[in-house]
Amino acid sequence: MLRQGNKTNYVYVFINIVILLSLILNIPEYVVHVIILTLWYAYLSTAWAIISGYTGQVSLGHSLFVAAGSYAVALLYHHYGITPILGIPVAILIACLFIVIIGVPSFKLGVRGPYFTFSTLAAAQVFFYLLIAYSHITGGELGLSLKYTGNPLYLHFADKKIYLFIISLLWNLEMLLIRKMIFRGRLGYYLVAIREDEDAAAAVGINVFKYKMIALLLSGILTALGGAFYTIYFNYVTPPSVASLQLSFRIATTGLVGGARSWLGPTIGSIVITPIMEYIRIRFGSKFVALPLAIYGFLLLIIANTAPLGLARLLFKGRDEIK
Amino acid sequence: MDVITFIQLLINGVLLGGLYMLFSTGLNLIYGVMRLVNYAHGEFLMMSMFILYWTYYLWHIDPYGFLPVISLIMFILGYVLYWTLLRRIVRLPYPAQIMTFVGTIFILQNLALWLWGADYRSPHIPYVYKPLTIGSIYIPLGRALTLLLGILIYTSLHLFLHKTTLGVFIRAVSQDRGAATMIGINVDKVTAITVGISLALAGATAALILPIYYVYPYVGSDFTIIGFIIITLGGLGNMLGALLASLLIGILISFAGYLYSVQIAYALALMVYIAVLMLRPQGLLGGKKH
Repeated sequence: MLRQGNKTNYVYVFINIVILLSLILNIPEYVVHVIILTLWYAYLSTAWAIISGYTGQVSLGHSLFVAAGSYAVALLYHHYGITPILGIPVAILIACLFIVIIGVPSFKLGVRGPYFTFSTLAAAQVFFYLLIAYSHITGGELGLSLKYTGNPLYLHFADKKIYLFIISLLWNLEMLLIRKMIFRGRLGYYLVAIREDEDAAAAVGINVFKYKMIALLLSGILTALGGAFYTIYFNYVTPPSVASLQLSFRIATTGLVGGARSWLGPTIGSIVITPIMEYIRIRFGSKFVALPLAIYGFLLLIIANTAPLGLARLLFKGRDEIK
Repeated sequence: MDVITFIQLLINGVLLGGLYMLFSTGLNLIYGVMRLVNYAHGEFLMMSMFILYWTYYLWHIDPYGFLPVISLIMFILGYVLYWTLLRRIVRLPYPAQIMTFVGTIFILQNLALWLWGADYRSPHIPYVYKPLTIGSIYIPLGRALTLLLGILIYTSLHLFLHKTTLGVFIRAVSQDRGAATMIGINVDKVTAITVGISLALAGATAALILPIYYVYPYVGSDFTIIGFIIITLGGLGNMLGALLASLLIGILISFAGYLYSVQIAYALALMVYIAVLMLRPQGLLGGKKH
């Protein structure tokens, strides 16, 4: 449980002060973009950790929910001119549909470990292939380039800082949700019990199916909202950018590098990884396309061997985890 | 669809199934002895395919002829990899294992991307396209050769696992690691050899695929996914089940690829996987539930 004066709370406040300063101060637009991306990955990985870290059902298919969110918003706007404000509820509904399709059969049958990891991966790949195959609707591999109107009703803003404000709001709400619902309630204990020993959890009367479903629902819906943000911010979606294995891997490993059991871990993972990756991409990416991800691969090998439970465990010694 | 096209697609499907079978056996062997899913298995296939492509392109070494050499190279790689990396990975918690595999995938894919670019490459060996005609059914020579060699490799592997001492050791370790240690089997050594064989199979599959297919840095992921579908559908450790599952998936992809598109074919195969997992979680032919 999180007590007053816990070291992690200071880190959380510090991150918010940095966000606030970057909103107020006059900083280059590119730096704003990097901060937005860092928060976006932090937000997605934190959502991913609800099912994969706390509950221990590691998913490598979270790009499915990102794609559900971003394509729902993009398709409604592109084909019918519907504002993303109304697209977001639809995105959540579609994400719920996917969650039921994956969650109910997997959790009813007790699909665990690599099998669960693989069902999520398979489901995400199905969606990826379908997005490419139905190119007359989705634009295929080239994706959809959306019209920019500059109208705030369509969530189009000229100032990048407004997007920074939106994503930091999303991230803070997510943190609030996790702290209130999972860390300060019974839910967290149930999820950790399921992670540590599913059979024992069931034996003491925890409805394993129900709580796994709740975890997947929270995780998937939050991720879909992150996907919707992607569309609003970039005005451009392609299957490789929102539905690919690469993105699923990136979300999962960002969470794992930071520490998937900690409430602040995935954010720390993103703060460590995203700016470095962006820097390498801008500095060397045009000459060596392969370099950023290759370096990332080596980084993962090193961290897996030195901090198998993530950086947060080294920093906070488990005080930021559910006990 | 006329009868000729039907038979043609069926043959292609069986061939594809055979290749999937060979590849997924490697995945199955590692899972058997280590209880570890090698998510990077496809990337080793991809690296072998690139090596074979360049040995053909630069020195005109026939991929079929180079099969024993590439298998040996991959065997040694697998053996070394076990002692240096995999042996540590098994002891790590599952999330750290995932980090390691994703790291390996990123390194190998991007190494290939950096060295050879993102183009689709095919060696275009002239004799591979020579037609073998039976009645009005047409089979390219390369495909026939691939099927024949695949059956040969698979049969010898089966004999090796069932008739030799080492093969029996491997099966013993897959069944019960603890009991195998107790009766005096050097489990570490057997596991290292199994990992070697597993990667050697990926190398052999590469030699059989390359002449009739093409290679690009991301070719591995599709194979890993299909390989995992097959070992799950077949029931782990169940050879007959795996054979049935590979043929089913191969034929499905062959037909759906012809009727719709490759993307739809892959999507359908994955949906069949999810459907079977819902109806028969223990795999097509039953067997142990994990």
